[in-house]
Amino acid sequence: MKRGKKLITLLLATVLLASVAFTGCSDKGSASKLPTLKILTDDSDTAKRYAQAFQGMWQKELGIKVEIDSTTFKDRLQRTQEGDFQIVMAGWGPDYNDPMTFMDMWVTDGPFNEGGYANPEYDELIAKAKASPDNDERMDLMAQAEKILIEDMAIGPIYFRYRDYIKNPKLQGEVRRAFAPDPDFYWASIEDGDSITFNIGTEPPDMDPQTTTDTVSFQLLGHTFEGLTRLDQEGKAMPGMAKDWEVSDDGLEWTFNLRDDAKWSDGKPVTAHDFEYAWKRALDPELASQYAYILYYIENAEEYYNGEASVDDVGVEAVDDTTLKVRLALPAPFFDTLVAFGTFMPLNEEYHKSVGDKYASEADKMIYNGPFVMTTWDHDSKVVLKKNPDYWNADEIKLETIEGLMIKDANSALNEFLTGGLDIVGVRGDQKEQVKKEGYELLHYADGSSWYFLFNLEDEILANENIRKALTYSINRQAFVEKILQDDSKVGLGFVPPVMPGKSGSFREEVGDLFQDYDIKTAKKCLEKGIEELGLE
Amino acid sequence: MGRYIGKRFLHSIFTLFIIATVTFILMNLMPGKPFTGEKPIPEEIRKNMEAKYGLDKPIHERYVIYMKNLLRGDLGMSMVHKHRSVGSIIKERFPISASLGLRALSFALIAGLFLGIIAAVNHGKTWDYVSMIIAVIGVSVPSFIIGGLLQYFVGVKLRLFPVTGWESFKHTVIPSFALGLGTLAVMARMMRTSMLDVLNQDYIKTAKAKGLPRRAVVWRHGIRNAILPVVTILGPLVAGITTGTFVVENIFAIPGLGQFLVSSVNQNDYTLIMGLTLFYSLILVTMNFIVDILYGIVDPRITLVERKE
Amino acid sequence: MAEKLLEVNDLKVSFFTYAGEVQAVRGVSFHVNKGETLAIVGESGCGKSVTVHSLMRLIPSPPGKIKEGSIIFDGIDIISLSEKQMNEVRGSKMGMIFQDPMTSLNPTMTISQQIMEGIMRHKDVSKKEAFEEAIRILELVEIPNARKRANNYPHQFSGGMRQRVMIAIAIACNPMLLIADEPTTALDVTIQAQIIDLMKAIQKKMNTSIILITHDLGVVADIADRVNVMYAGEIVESGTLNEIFYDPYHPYTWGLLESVPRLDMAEDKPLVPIPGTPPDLLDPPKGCPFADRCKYAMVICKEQHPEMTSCSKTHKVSCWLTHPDAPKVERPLGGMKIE
Ligand SMILES: Nc1ncnc2c1ncn2[C@@H]1O[C@H](COP(=O)(O)OP(=O)(O)OP(=O)(O)O)[C@@H](O)[C@H]1O
Ligand SMILES: [Mg+2]
Repeated sequence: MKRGKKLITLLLATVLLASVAFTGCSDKGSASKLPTLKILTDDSDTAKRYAQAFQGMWQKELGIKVEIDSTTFKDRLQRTQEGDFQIVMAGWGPDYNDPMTFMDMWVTDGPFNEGGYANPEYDELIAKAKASPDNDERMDLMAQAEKILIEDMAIGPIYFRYRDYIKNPKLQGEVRRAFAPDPDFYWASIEDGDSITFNIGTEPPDMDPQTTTDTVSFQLLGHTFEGLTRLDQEGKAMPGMAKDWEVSDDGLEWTFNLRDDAKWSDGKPVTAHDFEYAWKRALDPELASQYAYILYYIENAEEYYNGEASVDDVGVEAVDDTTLKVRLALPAPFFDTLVAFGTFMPLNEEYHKSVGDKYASEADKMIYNGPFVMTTWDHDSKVVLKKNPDYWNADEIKLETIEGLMIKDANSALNEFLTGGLDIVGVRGDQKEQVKKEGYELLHYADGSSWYFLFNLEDEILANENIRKALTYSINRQAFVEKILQDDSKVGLGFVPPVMPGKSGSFREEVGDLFQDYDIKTAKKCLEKGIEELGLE
Repeated sequence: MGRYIGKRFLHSIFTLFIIATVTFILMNLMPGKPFTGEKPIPEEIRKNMEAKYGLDKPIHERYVIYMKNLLRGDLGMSMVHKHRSVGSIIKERFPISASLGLRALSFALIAGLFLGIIAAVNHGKTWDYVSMIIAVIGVSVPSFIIGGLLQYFVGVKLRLFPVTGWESFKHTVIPSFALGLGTLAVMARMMRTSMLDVLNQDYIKTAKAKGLPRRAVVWRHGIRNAILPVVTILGPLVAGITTGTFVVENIFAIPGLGQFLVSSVNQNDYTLIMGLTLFYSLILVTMNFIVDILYGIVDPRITLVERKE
Repeated sequence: MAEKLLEVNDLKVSFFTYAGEVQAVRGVSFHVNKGETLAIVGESGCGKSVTVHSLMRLIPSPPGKIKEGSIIFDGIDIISLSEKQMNEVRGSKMGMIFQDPMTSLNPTMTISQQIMEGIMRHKDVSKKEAFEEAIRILELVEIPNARKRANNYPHQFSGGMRQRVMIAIAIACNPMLLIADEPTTALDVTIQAQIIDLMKAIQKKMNTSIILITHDLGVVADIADRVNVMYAGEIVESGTLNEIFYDPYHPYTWGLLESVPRLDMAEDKPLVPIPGTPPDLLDPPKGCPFADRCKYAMVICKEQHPEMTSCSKTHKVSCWLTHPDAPKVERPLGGMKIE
């Protein structure tokens, strides 16, 4: 019986192989002239599975041979940064709620431009967009830039990632979003109780707001700290430590008016000085904070970091205890959402000096100004957040306790959820069936990341735009998302993901798709042209 | 005895020194830096960070600095867990791994030896087959599968034990079982072979000829001798089980040291890699040493004293 | 008239292996009198050990099994005893010494422990008394410095000393029968004589009966009162020492006597090993098992098994040559002297 099954599988495989070979043959005309390409990938099973899917599509649709070059995660990152690759699947998640967090990646010689893309026209559009205080104008400029980016096929979009999760039906009001803190329990409540448990996955490696870079720490900081503003349910800026703010007409001068009843958890008032101190600290080259660049919108921030300006030149000034004046280097209409980001959280100088090096090393080596305070930080096992009674908006906060467990394994987390140990848990593609069987409703949210082929434009073959187009157009994204990712990710036919805001709604929806999914006809044409241009005939 | 221990001690120090050096070199050959992540870091910021962690210095200079600190007993700060020293991570986390490991080991030892003895004494009979089937399962099914299955069926379905965490005795049961099963199997098989061998020895016949009841023959004459070869692998087993905790720690979210073994390498946390390697090597060396002494106690033929001429 | 201590009748022992039934002992009958020494001789594999192990029911089972026969020891029917009852006999009424003193002692117990174990098993004594008794026995077997060495482990003794310890273990409870399975084979020549002398001394002191298995006819001559010659699981000839050495009837006995060097042999006389190999005990021949190797074999020898016939009151042999109709053959050996 078993043997019979095996035999049939074997037969099937042979037939499939033969048909693949056959289709390959029919297009052999041009593709065989293309040397074998290489796609760089991690050696994790999922990463390899993705690469194999692309490999198969290129082979089947275009007859292009692509080898899978798998290596360790770190090596992949390093080789990508060093330009030692041809094609690699890469992703980018937003730092703040504006398409610019995606679009300024590809400016010539930009720090994140790993493919080596260089187009003065593109650079100019981005520069103009950055210099414009007018939101509609900025969006138009970025839309034009994105068109050029895809027209040049600097990168080949694949998909926008969406994730699945399930929750205790009694839990209401949690907000999922593309940035930290995600999930955000600010508005959350739970029927017949006031405490919830969720999985933070791992130990937060660094709870110091000015130096940390990871989502776990940012998640906890988002609940225990508050910046000048915080993000509301829609991802827009709402009053935080600042009760209101004004922007000058040129968009460069921002004045934040702090509320006078804001307190640290040790009872001291939160003042504008705490922000000035924290921001300048984040930019201090001695601190060597990785996210210092997030503050580069501020006048002279980059110069100070690079030693070309003094700390006093940095455009942040506490005029008095409740007024913070910020001068920007470029108008950034989204600056009010940017200051909600973890790196911009305040720090009281006096307190900081009193704990020194130990700052943020334990729950009681920090003071908090957010809706919750961290009362327990049991390293490598859990954190406990308790409602901060002195928080200015405490009346609106319904949860008394949030417990964060550190369960790394996705199956264990799901099992913990199933026994009632967690009130919300992420679901992986391969867990969906089981979750449905257990009778839970699958919920989805965009994690804000955009995934694409990063092409090395300095590579002999991939320098050719038509080859890149052929590779991009020939991918069947719909099938990839359904069969390989098996989640609710969306087909990516542009670079900026749908969660990013545009003029009034979503940037992606306003701009529309920039090319067609699975466009074999065009792909083949491009391939032929590319081969001709490369002189491979 | 004293001289022997002294000699072994020097040996161990030298071994550790070699391990430290080799690890230091290999670790630096690994691609990536502690702060290499999905998001590339702007050049000038990266340089600045490297300077802060001393990674801008050439490797031999860093080696000398590390060794100097090591001699002072300073293992440095973790490069990923920004506010934790390597020493404190080991101090806080190892007791939990050790506790998990020892529970698993005691379970594996007691049950393994028992199964092995039962199998040997009932050679060729039902109990022999039963215990050997258990042993085969234990050897061939990896702990993450056993762990996952137990977690689901015993934890989720039957609700007999908690699914994750490390708080009460109940939390320790499934993880210890999952971790110990492989060792149990090794023990059972070894003990069975050894016991069968011993039961065929002449001195067992001597014991029988004295009119000793079977129980006395098996226990007094069989087991003690059969256990000797098992004792020799106890060192590597203890070391293996205490270092091999990471899979089980991961599944059951146990805050032990094992998980850092994997994460430190994945994250290029250089100081932590060094600290853990040295620490675990130290355990291994110590274990082997203890086992040697233990062996001398169990087997009177082995003497640790150098013969006087 | 000597009193019988042990009487074995038609004992059959087989091993049931994958290859089939190995008929290791095929109907042996013999007896041992009180205070006398019986030697069992024969080629390797002829069933000597199996025979004596059967007496103490030490045959590993499975695969071994006593199939038939009776063993009456001191009036007790050994075969019908339960395992528990048998343990009362082992070590107390019968003691056994094995061939290899290197492997017959437990390496992880001190020698006093190993001796005391038997004493405490069979006698109602305290640990201290048992220890004193152990010392006394160690002195009896002439271990020098017995009290000091009692707490030593076996590996701290030489081979000869260890065999003395083995003897001490075997006689610890003053057994009526001492079985020694090749007690000297593993020892060097000078030590052999000492061990045999020790056994003789003990026998004299305690009036023990001894069954001694050995390949060394010199030893036999030295200690034995009577001799059983075994071949292929059977006793082919038995008699007093003089009868076997001076007046052997069975050609196999002749072969044995020829194949070993002896003091009284002419120096130029070559040693003659018995040609051929013993029969396969999985499928023993129906006639005389020695027939294939016997240069005097007649037609009947291969056809029919010879009966055990008495040559004297004490001398028995199982050979067709003793049949009145058989041709007279010249015994190759001259008369032998035994002092
Ligand atoms: N455990 C066993 N399983 C199978 N066969 C056995 C076993 N023990 C003994 N035999 C067989 O029984 C026969 C007699 O063996 P035994 O040990 O009695 O010989 P022996 O006369 O004592 O020889 P040796 O002089 O070499 O000690 C041999 O053919 C041997 O193969
Ligand atoms: Mg023998």
